[in-house]
Amino acid sequence: MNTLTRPFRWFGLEIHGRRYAIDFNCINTVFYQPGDHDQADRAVVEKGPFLGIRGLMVHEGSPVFLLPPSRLFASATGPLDAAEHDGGGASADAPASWVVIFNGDSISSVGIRAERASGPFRMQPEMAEAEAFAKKEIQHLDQWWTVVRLRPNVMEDLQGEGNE
Amino acid sequence: MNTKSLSFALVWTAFGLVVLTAIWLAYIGIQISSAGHRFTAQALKAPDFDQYRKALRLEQLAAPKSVAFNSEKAARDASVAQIFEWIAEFENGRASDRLKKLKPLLSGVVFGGLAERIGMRAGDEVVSVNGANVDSVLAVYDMLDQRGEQSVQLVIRRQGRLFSASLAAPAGERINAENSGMLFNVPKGLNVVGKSQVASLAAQFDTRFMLLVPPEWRRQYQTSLAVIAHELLVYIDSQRDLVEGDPGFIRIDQMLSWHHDAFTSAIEQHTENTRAASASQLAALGSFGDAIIGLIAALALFFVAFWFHNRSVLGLTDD
Repeated sequence: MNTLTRPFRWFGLEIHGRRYAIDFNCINTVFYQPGDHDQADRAVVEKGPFLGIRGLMVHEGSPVFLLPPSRLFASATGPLDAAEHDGGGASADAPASWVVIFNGDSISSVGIRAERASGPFRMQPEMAEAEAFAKKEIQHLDQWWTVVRLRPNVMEDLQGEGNE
Repeated sequence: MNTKSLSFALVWTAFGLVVLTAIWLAYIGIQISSAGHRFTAQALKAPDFDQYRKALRLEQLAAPKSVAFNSEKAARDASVAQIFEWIAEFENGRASDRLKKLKPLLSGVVFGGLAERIGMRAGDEVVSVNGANVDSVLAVYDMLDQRGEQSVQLVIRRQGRLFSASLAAPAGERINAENSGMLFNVPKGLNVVGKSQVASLAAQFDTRFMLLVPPEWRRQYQTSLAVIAHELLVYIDSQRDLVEGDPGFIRIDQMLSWHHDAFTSAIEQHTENTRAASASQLAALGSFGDAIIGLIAALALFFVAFWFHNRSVLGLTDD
């Protein structure tokens, strides 16, 4: 049996010093965007209603809402704790030069800024996404990555809260 | 102090200022030039095989006795398909001797796979594929991968009796070692990569890896991976007795992920260096403007002082 052609299922993101692994299939695009985007991001947060949006950008003509990890991801134990995962720690000021945009059904999409993007990679031994999710952490290049999933209906939640 | 000596001192002071600002201007010029050189000389440091060995702690890898070919040269215009042909050569090279000695006895079948669907099971021995006798796992893989047919005729030995069976791929697909669903007792981590797998690996690489690299860096990314893939070939001999988990065993999937991470880090580093070089060039250009103004002011002062000095030497007064 050829183990080479198995798909590279995982993608790693380092955000506020924490490492997350997510199914590669939910990723639309990843790109490197260095520069002083913090100010522009803050302007979006300050001007609009506070929906947890960290920034807004336009990618290929569509708006992309940049959200913090607690708004986007859920782990096997449930939604991530905002105080713990959304920065504020020692590494909160690390330059987040990578932008990851996720697949979505609506015209606008959601994404996140990350300090580092890693992969695609495989687990060793490979296991199904559900099994890996239940396991909570996977190893890649000597590092442990928390397995997360995209929270369902992130976009709908955002629109709902915006209308309130 | 009389007017003459005062004007004389003023001329020399102004002259001194002219010289100083000229030196300042020359210094700024050198700075601009070196910043410009740093800016244009920025080259991305692509990951290489030595970095890979160190990062994955593969120092146990026996160094090749002689490197008869130049990987840099071979990789220069290598296509993605060529990269995976080298990887296939490496995988097949380290596995072939062991798979040649392995009898084609099924250790199991993939659940729901083609082999299971036609009733094959663990303990069955493959005797022939499309009429050609096969006496090793390698021979079975070769027959399945090289033919690339939609269906193959197998002769199976089960408990001493021979059976004939037909293995057919779904419409539009070709039978290969992977989709046949037959499992053999292949040592852990060894692969045989047929032509169809090379194409599928190259396609997966294009969609999973290449798309994540900014378009302007893709050519260099490809070349950098090609160098490493070509360099793998000299390590085939050192891998012939290793299985996955042994120190020094090269896992290709890990190598691809490592290379990707290392290359994207190199892009980050390069971008940071370019930004720093650009900022220092801009700062130097800003200082150049200051130095020009300083020189003009010093020259003006010098000419005024010189004119004043001439007047005092000639004893001219305004009245």
